[in-house]
Amino acid sequence: MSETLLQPGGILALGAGVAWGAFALPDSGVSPEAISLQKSFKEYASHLEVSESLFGDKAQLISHLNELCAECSEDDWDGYGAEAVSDTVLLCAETFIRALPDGIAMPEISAEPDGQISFDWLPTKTKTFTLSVGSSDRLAYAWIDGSNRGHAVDLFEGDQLPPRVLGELQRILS
Amino acid sequence: MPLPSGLPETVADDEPISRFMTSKSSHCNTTAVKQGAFLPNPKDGRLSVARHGADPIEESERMAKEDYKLEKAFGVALIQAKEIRKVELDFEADDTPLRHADVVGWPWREDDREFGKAERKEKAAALAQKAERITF
Repeated sequence: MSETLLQPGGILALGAGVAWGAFALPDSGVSPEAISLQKSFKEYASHLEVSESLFGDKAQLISHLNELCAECSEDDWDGYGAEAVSDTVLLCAETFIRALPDGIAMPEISAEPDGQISFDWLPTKTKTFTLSVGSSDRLAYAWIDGSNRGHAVDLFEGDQLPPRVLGELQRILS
Repeated sequence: MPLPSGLPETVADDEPISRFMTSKSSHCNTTAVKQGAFLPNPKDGRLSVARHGADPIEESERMAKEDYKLEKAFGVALIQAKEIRKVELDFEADDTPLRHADVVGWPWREDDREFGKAERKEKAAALAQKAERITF
């Protein structure tokens, strides 16, 4: 909630809510315009709550990502000689989180021995989707669905997930 | 000829194999082993494991911390050797430290590093699904 309120739109939304609440108490509107306005505000408030909830999940994941990268910021963080997670990889991973579409379950995140960040979805014991984000714009990923499994690489341009990644992920999560 | 530990040089299919877990966020969650626990070291392309089960678990902990010098170890991802061979990987047992082996045969592609990574992730994810998470 607090992070949403720090956004320009959030401040505006809070302002609109306060203003609306000041002069439009429940059942006090008598004109058709007031009723229409009240209905519009309720719809807007409902949409805002959904947006806040989704942003909250992503904000929480980004916060976890920062903690993870701090833990793995030096070589040999695992005792087996793993490479440190760089600031560049951290930024790429954050970009990936922001590009996750609404409605997709949030993944678990891990650091990998080559200093990349793994996004893991483990919906059941027999289903896995795992994707690595490094400093390149190509995403390596793999999936297991019962006895079927595979792997691929796709280009990530930073604003949205590649269609094939999204398709495989949605299939695993369905 | 047996190795100093008394184990044969060739790892048997029914041997229990332990991968010591050293990162609570990257090697497992509260119930399952993650693929990250089974990804090989990028420097030598090998996955370090112990030819040992988890019974008694106190001996696993001693091995991890004293023999293998893994101070952060908090548990093992336990798997049977045959599961590792099912994904077309194999073992090189060197017994240094005692009962140590490397899982070898991981795909690496200098011409397409990301594709090699995707191949390794698939194998590691398959191993993670078969592994049992046991904490000290």
